[in-house]
Amino acid sequence: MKKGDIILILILLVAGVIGCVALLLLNRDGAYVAVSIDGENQGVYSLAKDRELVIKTEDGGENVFVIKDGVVDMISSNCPNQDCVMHNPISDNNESIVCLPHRLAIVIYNEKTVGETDATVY
Amino acid sequence: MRRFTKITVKEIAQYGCLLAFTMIVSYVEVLFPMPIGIPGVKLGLANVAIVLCLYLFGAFPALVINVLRIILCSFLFANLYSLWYSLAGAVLSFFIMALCKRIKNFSMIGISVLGGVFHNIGQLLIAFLITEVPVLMYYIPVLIIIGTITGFINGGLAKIIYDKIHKYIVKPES
Repeated sequence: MKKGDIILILILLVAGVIGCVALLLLNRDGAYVAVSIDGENQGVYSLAKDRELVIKTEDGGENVFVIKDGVVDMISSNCPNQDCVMHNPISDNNESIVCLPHRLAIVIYNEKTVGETDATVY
Repeated sequence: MRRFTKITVKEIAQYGCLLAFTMIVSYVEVLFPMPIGIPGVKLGLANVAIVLCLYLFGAFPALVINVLRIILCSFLFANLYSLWYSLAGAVLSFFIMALCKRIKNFSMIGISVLGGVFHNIGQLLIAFLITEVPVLMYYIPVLIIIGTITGFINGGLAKIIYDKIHKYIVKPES
Protein backbone atom coordinates (compact mmCIF):
# COMPACT_ATOMS: atom_id res chain seq x y z
CA MET A 1 0.00 0.00 0.00
CA LYS A 2 1.31 3.41 -0.88
CA LYS A 3 0.93 6.76 0.83
CA GLY A 4 -1.55 7.96 -1.77
CA ASP A 5 -3.84 5.03 -1.02
CA ILE A 6 -3.97 5.80 2.67
CA ILE A 7 -4.67 9.49 2.10
CA LEU A 8 -7.38 8.63 -0.41
CA ILE A 9 -9.08 6.14 1.89
CA LEU A 10 -8.96 8.54 4.84
CA ILE A 11 -10.38 11.41 2.82
CA LEU A 12 -13.19 9.27 1.45
CA LEU A 13 -14.12 7.77 4.80
CA VAL A 14 -14.04 11.10 6.58
CA ALA A 15 -16.08 12.77 3.86
CA GLY A 16 -18.55 9.90 3.89
CA VAL A 17 -18.95 9.88 7.65
CA ILE A 18 -19.31 13.65 7.86
CA GLY A 19 -21.89 13.53 5.09
CA CYS A 20 -23.83 10.77 6.83
CA VAL A 21 -23.78 12.47 10.20
CA ALA A 22 -24.82 15.78 8.66
CA LEU A 23 -27.76 14.17 6.91
CA LEU A 24 -28.80 12.31 10.03
CA LEU A 25 -28.73 15.40 12.20
CA LEU A 26 -30.62 17.61 9.81
CA ASN A 27 -34.36 17.19 9.41
CA ARG A 28 -35.04 13.54 10.07
CA ASP A 29 -38.75 13.46 10.34
CA GLY A 30 -40.61 12.66 7.21
CA ALA A 31 -44.13 13.85 6.68
CA TYR A 32 -45.13 13.01 3.12
CA VAL A 33 -44.19 10.55 0.46
CA ALA A 34 -44.07 11.93 -3.09
CA VAL A 35 -44.47 9.58 -6.01
CA SER A 36 -42.94 10.47 -9.34
CA ILE A 37 -42.69 8.70 -12.67
CA ASP A 38 -40.13 10.03 -15.19
CA GLY A 39 -39.65 12.97 -12.88
CA GLU A 40 -43.29 13.97 -13.00
CA ASN A 41 -45.16 14.20 -9.76
CA GLN A 42 -47.93 11.65 -9.48
CA GLY A 43 -49.15 12.44 -6.03
CA VAL A 44 -48.09 13.37 -2.56
CA TYR A 45 -49.41 11.32 0.33
CA SER A 46 -49.29 12.02 4.01
CA LEU A 47 -47.46 9.49 6.14
CA ALA A 48 -49.95 9.97 8.92
CA LYS A 49 -52.60 7.88 7.18
CA ASP A 50 -52.06 4.14 6.76
CA ARG A 51 -52.91 2.92 3.32
CA GLU A 52 -51.88 0.75 0.42
CA LEU A 53 -51.22 2.36 -2.97
CA VAL A 54 -51.03 0.82 -6.39
CA ILE A 55 -49.06 2.80 -8.95
CA LYS A 56 -49.47 1.90 -12.60
CA THR A 57 -47.18 3.12 -15.32
CA GLU A 58 -48.22 3.55 -18.93
CA ASP A 59 -46.30 0.55 -20.19
CA GLY A 60 -47.97 -1.92 -17.89
CA GLY A 61 -45.74 -1.54 -14.90
CA GLU A 62 -47.37 -1.95 -11.54
CA ASN A 63 -45.85 -1.19 -8.14
CA VAL A 64 -47.58 -1.54 -4.80
CA PHE A 65 -46.40 0.24 -1.72
CA VAL A 66 -47.78 0.52 1.77
CA ILE A 67 -47.80 3.36 4.27
CA LYS A 68 -48.13 2.04 7.79
CA ASP A 69 -47.19 3.66 11.10
CA GLY A 70 -45.27 6.35 9.28
CA VAL A 71 -43.12 3.85 7.37
CA VAL A 72 -43.22 3.29 3.62
CA ASP A 73 -42.41 -0.05 2.07
CA MET A 74 -42.61 -1.31 -1.51
CA ILE A 75 -44.33 -4.65 -1.24
CA SER A 76 -44.67 -5.78 -4.78
CA SER A 77 -43.72 -4.90 -8.31
CA ASN A 78 -43.86 -6.55 -11.70
CA CYS A 79 -40.43 -5.26 -12.69
CA PRO A 80 -37.66 -7.64 -13.70
CA ASN A 81 -35.14 -6.89 -11.02
CA GLN A 82 -37.13 -6.45 -7.78
CA ASP A 83 -34.53 -4.16 -6.20
CA CYS A 84 -37.39 -1.90 -5.18
CA VAL A 85 -39.24 -4.66 -3.34
CA MET A 86 -36.10 -5.85 -1.57
CA HIS A 87 -35.26 -2.34 -0.40
CA ASN A 88 -35.68 -1.79 3.32
CA PRO A 89 -38.72 0.23 4.40
CA ILE A 90 -38.10 3.97 4.55
CA SER A 91 -39.29 6.54 7.03
CA ASP A 92 -36.74 9.34 7.24
CA ASN A 93 -36.72 12.58 5.33
CA ASN A 94 -35.03 12.37 1.91
CA GLU A 95 -35.01 8.58 1.85
CA SER A 96 -36.33 7.00 -1.31
CA ILE A 97 -37.22 3.76 -2.99
CA VAL A 98 -36.65 3.65 -6.70
CA CYS A 99 -37.91 1.28 -9.39
CA LEU A 100 -35.69 2.01 -12.37
CA PRO A 101 -37.37 -0.16 -15.00
CA HIS A 102 -40.59 1.72 -14.27
CA ARG A 103 -38.77 5.03 -13.83
CA LEU A 104 -40.60 5.33 -10.55
CA ALA A 105 -39.34 7.02 -7.42
CA ILE A 106 -41.07 7.38 -4.08
CA VAL A 107 -39.40 9.93 -1.85
CA ILE A 108 -40.10 11.06 1.70
CA TYR A 109 -40.24 14.79 2.36
CA ASN A 110 -41.27 17.06 5.18
CA GLU A 111 -42.47 20.66 5.24
CA LYS A 112 -38.93 21.96 4.96
CA THR A 113 -37.88 19.93 1.96
CA VAL A 114 -40.99 19.74 -0.12
CA GLY A 115 -40.42 23.27 -1.27
CA GLU A 116 -43.15 25.42 -2.63
CA THR A 117 -45.11 22.89 -4.53
CA ASP A 118 -48.83 23.36 -4.74
CA ALA A 119 -49.26 19.64 -4.90
CA THR A 120 -52.27 18.56 -2.99
CA VAL A 121 -51.53 16.18 -0.21
CA TYR A 122 -53.80 13.20 0.00
CA MET B 1 -3.69 0.13 -27.27
CA ARG B 2 -1.33 -2.22 -28.97
CA ARG B 3 -1.98 -4.06 -32.16
CA PHE B 4 -3.69 -7.32 -31.40
CA THR B 5 -2.87 -9.02 -34.67
CA LYS B 6 -0.13 -11.01 -33.03
CA ILE B 7 -2.22 -12.27 -30.16
CA THR B 8 -1.17 -15.75 -29.14
CA VAL B 9 -3.26 -18.69 -28.09
CA LYS B 10 -1.86 -18.45 -24.60
CA GLU B 11 -3.06 -14.88 -24.29
CA ILE B 12 -6.49 -15.81 -25.56
CA ALA B 13 -6.68 -18.60 -23.02
CA GLN B 14 -5.67 -16.20 -20.24
CA TYR B 15 -8.29 -13.65 -21.22
CA GLY B 16 -10.88 -16.40 -21.41
CA CYS B 17 -10.02 -17.63 -17.94
CA LEU B 18 -10.21 -14.12 -16.53
CA LEU B 19 -13.56 -13.52 -18.18
CA ALA B 20 -14.94 -16.79 -16.86
CA PHE B 21 -13.63 -15.96 -13.40
CA THR B 22 -15.23 -12.56 -13.37
CA MET B 23 -18.56 -13.93 -14.59
CA ILE B 24 -18.66 -16.61 -11.94
CA VAL B 25 -17.77 -14.10 -9.26
CA SER B 26 -20.50 -11.72 -10.47
CA TYR B 27 -23.02 -14.51 -10.23
CA VAL B 28 -21.91 -15.86 -6.88
CA GLU B 29 -21.81 -12.53 -5.07
CA VAL B 30 -25.55 -12.21 -5.52
CA LEU B 31 -25.79 -15.05 -3.00
CA PHE B 32 -24.26 -12.85 -0.29
CA PRO B 33 -27.09 -10.82 1.17
CA MET B 34 -25.79 -7.40 2.06
CA PRO B 35 -27.23 -6.11 5.32
CA ILE B 36 -27.80 -2.65 3.90
CA GLY B 37 -30.96 -2.44 1.86
CA ILE B 38 -29.93 0.26 -0.56
CA PRO B 39 -30.05 -0.31 -4.32
CA GLY B 40 -26.73 -1.13 -5.81
CA VAL B 41 -24.94 -2.22 -2.67
CA LYS B 42 -22.90 -5.22 -3.62
CA LEU B 43 -19.53 -6.63 -2.67
CA GLY B 44 -18.41 -5.86 -6.18
CA LEU B 45 -16.11 -8.87 -6.23
CA ALA B 46 -15.99 -8.72 -10.01
CA ASN B 47 -13.80 -5.67 -9.57
CA VAL B 48 -11.09 -7.98 -8.26
CA ALA B 49 -10.80 -9.43 -11.76
CA ILE B 50 -10.98 -6.03 -13.44
CA VAL B 51 -8.21 -4.58 -11.28
CA LEU B 52 -6.18 -7.73 -11.81
CA CYS B 53 -6.63 -7.42 -15.55
CA LEU B 54 -5.66 -3.76 -15.48
CA TYR B 55 -2.37 -4.57 -13.81
CA LEU B 56 -1.64 -7.78 -15.64
CA PHE B 57 -2.63 -6.89 -19.18
CA GLY B 58 -3.40 -3.22 -19.43
CA ALA B 59 -6.37 -0.96 -19.97
CA PHE B 60 -7.73 -2.16 -23.28
CA PRO B 61 -8.05 -5.87 -22.42
CA ALA B 62 -9.50 -4.89 -19.05
CA LEU B 63 -12.13 -2.72 -20.73
CA VAL B 64 -13.09 -5.42 -23.20
CA ILE B 65 -13.34 -8.08 -20.51
CA ASN B 66 -15.39 -5.74 -18.32
CA VAL B 67 -17.90 -4.92 -21.06
CA LEU B 68 -18.14 -8.53 -22.16
CA ARG B 69 -18.73 -9.67 -18.62
CA ILE B 70 -21.59 -7.23 -18.18
CA ILE B 71 -23.23 -8.11 -21.49
CA LEU B 72 -22.92 -11.84 -20.90
CA CYS B 73 -24.02 -11.72 -17.29
CA SER B 74 -27.04 -9.60 -18.13
CA PHE B 75 -28.12 -12.01 -20.84
CA LEU B 76 -27.46 -15.10 -18.78
CA PHE B 77 -28.44 -14.16 -15.27
CA ALA B 78 -30.50 -11.03 -15.37
CA ASN B 79 -32.37 -8.84 -17.80
CA LEU B 80 -31.82 -6.06 -20.31
CA TYR B 81 -32.42 -3.31 -17.74
CA SER B 82 -29.59 -4.50 -15.55
CA LEU B 83 -27.32 -4.31 -18.61
CA TRP B 84 -27.52 -0.53 -18.81
CA TYR B 85 -27.36 0.09 -15.08
CA SER B 86 -24.32 -2.13 -14.66
CA LEU B 87 -22.65 -0.56 -17.67
CA ALA B 88 -23.12 2.93 -16.26
CA GLY B 89 -21.37 2.17 -13.01
CA ALA B 90 -18.73 -0.04 -14.55
CA VAL B 91 -17.72 2.30 -17.37
CA LEU B 92 -17.34 5.32 -15.09
CA SER B 93 -15.45 3.25 -12.55
CA PHE B 94 -13.24 1.78 -15.23
CA PHE B 95 -12.18 5.07 -16.76
CA ILE B 96 -11.37 6.54 -13.38
CA MET B 97 -9.30 3.48 -12.56
CA ALA B 98 -7.47 3.46 -15.88
CA LEU B 99 -6.69 7.17 -15.62
CA CYS B 100 -5.58 7.14 -11.99
CA LYS B 101 -3.44 4.07 -12.45
CA ARG B 102 -0.82 6.37 -13.97
CA ILE B 103 -0.56 8.35 -10.72
CA LYS B 104 2.45 6.94 -8.95
CA ASN B 105 1.13 7.47 -5.46
CA PHE B 106 -1.61 4.89 -5.87
CA SER B 107 -1.19 1.16 -5.65
CA MET B 108 -3.64 -1.54 -6.63
CA ILE B 109 -5.60 -0.98 -3.43
CA GLY B 110 -6.09 2.74 -4.03
CA ILE B 111 -7.19 2.12 -7.60
CA SER B 112 -9.64 -0.49 -6.42
CA VAL B 113 -11.05 1.93 -3.84
CA LEU B 114 -11.57 4.54 -6.56
CA GLY B 115 -13.19 1.88 -8.71
CA GLY B 116 -15.59 0.86 -5.97
CA VAL B 117 -16.61 4.40 -5.09
CA PHE B 118 -17.12 5.50 -8.67
CA HIS B 119 -19.01 2.37 -9.56
CA ASN B 120 -21.54 3.24 -6.89
CA ILE B 121 -21.64 6.89 -7.91
CA GLY B 122 -22.11 5.90 -11.54
CA GLN B 123 -25.11 3.76 -10.65
CA LEU B 124 -26.57 6.52 -8.51
CA LEU B 125 -26.12 8.93 -11.40
CA ILE B 126 -28.01 6.76 -13.79
CA ALA B 127 -30.80 6.27 -11.26
CA PHE B 128 -30.94 10.05 -11.03
CA LEU B 129 -30.99 10.49 -14.80
CA ILE B 130 -33.86 8.07 -15.15
CA THR B 131 -36.07 9.18 -12.29
CA GLU B 132 -35.03 12.87 -12.22
CA VAL B 133 -35.28 12.95 -8.45
CA PRO B 134 -32.38 15.03 -7.10
CA VAL B 135 -32.90 13.83 -3.56
CA LEU B 136 -31.25 10.53 -4.52
CA MET B 137 -28.00 12.36 -3.88
CA TYR B 138 -28.87 11.83 -0.22
CA TYR B 139 -27.27 8.42 -0.65
CA ILE B 140 -23.87 9.69 -1.78
CA PRO B 141 -22.17 9.63 1.66
CA VAL B 142 -23.27 6.05 2.35
CA LEU B 143 -22.19 4.91 -1.10
CA ILE B 144 -18.81 6.56 -0.69
CA ILE B 145 -18.22 4.71 2.57
CA ILE B 146 -19.40 1.38 1.18
CA GLY B 147 -17.46 1.88 -2.05
CA THR B 148 -14.30 2.62 -0.10
CA ILE B 149 -14.62 -0.43 2.12
CA THR B 150 -15.50 -2.86 -0.66
CA GLY B 151 -12.84 -1.31 -2.89
CA PHE B 152 -10.29 -1.84 -0.16
CA ILE B 153 -11.26 -5.48 0.30
CA ASN B 154 -11.33 -6.13 -3.44
CA GLY B 155 -7.97 -4.41 -3.86
CA GLY B 156 -6.47 -6.56 -1.15
CA LEU B 157 -7.80 -9.71 -2.79
CA ALA B 158 -6.53 -8.59 -6.18
CA LYS B 159 -3.10 -7.90 -4.72
CA ILE B 160 -2.94 -11.35 -3.15
CA ILE B 161 -3.89 -13.03 -6.42
CA TYR B 162 -1.59 -10.77 -8.45
CA ASP B 163 1.42 -11.56 -6.27
CA LYS B 164 0.85 -15.24 -6.72
CA ILE B 165 0.17 -15.45 -10.43
CA HIS B 166 1.92 -12.62 -12.23
CA LYS B 167 5.05 -14.69 -12.67
CA TYR B 168 3.14 -17.22 -14.74
CA ILE B 169 1.30 -14.82 -16.98
CA VAL B 170 2.29 -14.75 -20.62
CA LYS B 171 2.81 -11.11 -21.43
CA PRO B 172 1.63 -9.72 -24.75
CA GLU B 173 4.46 -9.14 -27.19
CA SER B 174 4.93 -5.42 -27.52
